Amino acid sequence: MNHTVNRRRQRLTCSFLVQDDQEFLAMQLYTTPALIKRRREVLVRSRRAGVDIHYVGTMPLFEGYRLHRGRTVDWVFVNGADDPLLLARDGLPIPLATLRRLHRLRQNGVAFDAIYLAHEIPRGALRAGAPLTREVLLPPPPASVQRLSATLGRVSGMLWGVAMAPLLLSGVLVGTLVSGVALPVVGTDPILFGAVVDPRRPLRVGDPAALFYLDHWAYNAYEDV
Amino acid sequence: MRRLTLNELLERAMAYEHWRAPLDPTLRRAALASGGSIGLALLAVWFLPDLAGLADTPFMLVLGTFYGDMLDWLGRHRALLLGSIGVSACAYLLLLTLTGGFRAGQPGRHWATFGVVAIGALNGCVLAVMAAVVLVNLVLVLLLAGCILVLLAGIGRVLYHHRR
Repeated sequence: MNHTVNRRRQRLTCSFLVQDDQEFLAMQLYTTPALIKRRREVLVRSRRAGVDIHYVGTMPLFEGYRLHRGRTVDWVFVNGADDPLLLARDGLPIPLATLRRLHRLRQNGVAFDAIYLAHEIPRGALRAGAPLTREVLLPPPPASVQRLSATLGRVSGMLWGVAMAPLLLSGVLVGTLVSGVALPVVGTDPILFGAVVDPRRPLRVGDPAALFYLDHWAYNAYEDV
Repeated sequence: MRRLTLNELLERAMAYEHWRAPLDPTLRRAALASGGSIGLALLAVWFLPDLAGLADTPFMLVLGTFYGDMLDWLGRHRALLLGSIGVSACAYLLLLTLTGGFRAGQPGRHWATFGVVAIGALNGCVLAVMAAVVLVNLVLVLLLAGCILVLLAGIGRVLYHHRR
């Protein structure tokens, strides 16, 4: 039930990201027969791979990011090549289930000319025109790793308690050190898109591209996987 | 035009389940304390010959033999101890850098931090035993000195009254 509601919400978000934009609507006029053919090929191959993806609309290719203001949250629609999470050393965290879907697509010859991501961020977390930083998109840390760390922390405390027993017995107190610092947690729930263009044309900013919804995930939902 | 392909995305992506998370505050404190104990252990083993001389002094009222035997054993394995503590210190510094001062890391680094904590606690235990023996003797020497002072004061007082 929750999954269905979530999927419906993501479809609405995809529509909001693409169809609310006048420039995107105008792009439908520039769809060429070759692009329509390529679009169908992608859908056929993905079905053969057993991966459910769907065509969202035609949009102009862009670099950098576009900020969409929502009622409760904002969306950063960003070219994968400019996504600060993908440029960072730690990379973009993607749940294993989604990675498996993407690997299946690749193995079945589904190729996209460009990848776009839509990151959900708290309302007002990013000013229009401000540089998109990694801190704005950083997801919450996985709960399973946090639980592991807490267990190791408890055992470490006990180890040090035993190690210091001789000193404690002789009446010396051991002080504590500085406290831990948590990571900033801002971004949640990304949506992944693949874009294909007319194969006869070189890739240029502003050219029409068929946009496909590939997958989405909520980091909190995957914490216990 | 700048772009990212599916292949590039899969190369740069990381499984969220194995992504980095902040270290538990207790684990971090224990890791920082371990750094101190590894450093102290390195110094203690380095200056072991000087410490060994302490066992033969009259300062050691109790547990002198135990202390001497322990230092003797440590002295016989000094090269091995220096090497292993040196390697531990290097691993500690590397982990300190990789985790940004034991703040966050991938699951493997949480385990590695725990390993460093275990080594630190082991070093800390040996240092604590040594320090406890010295401390007990120090307290005994101070108590003895106090008793002698009280006794001398008492004798002095008796002699003073006797002379008057």
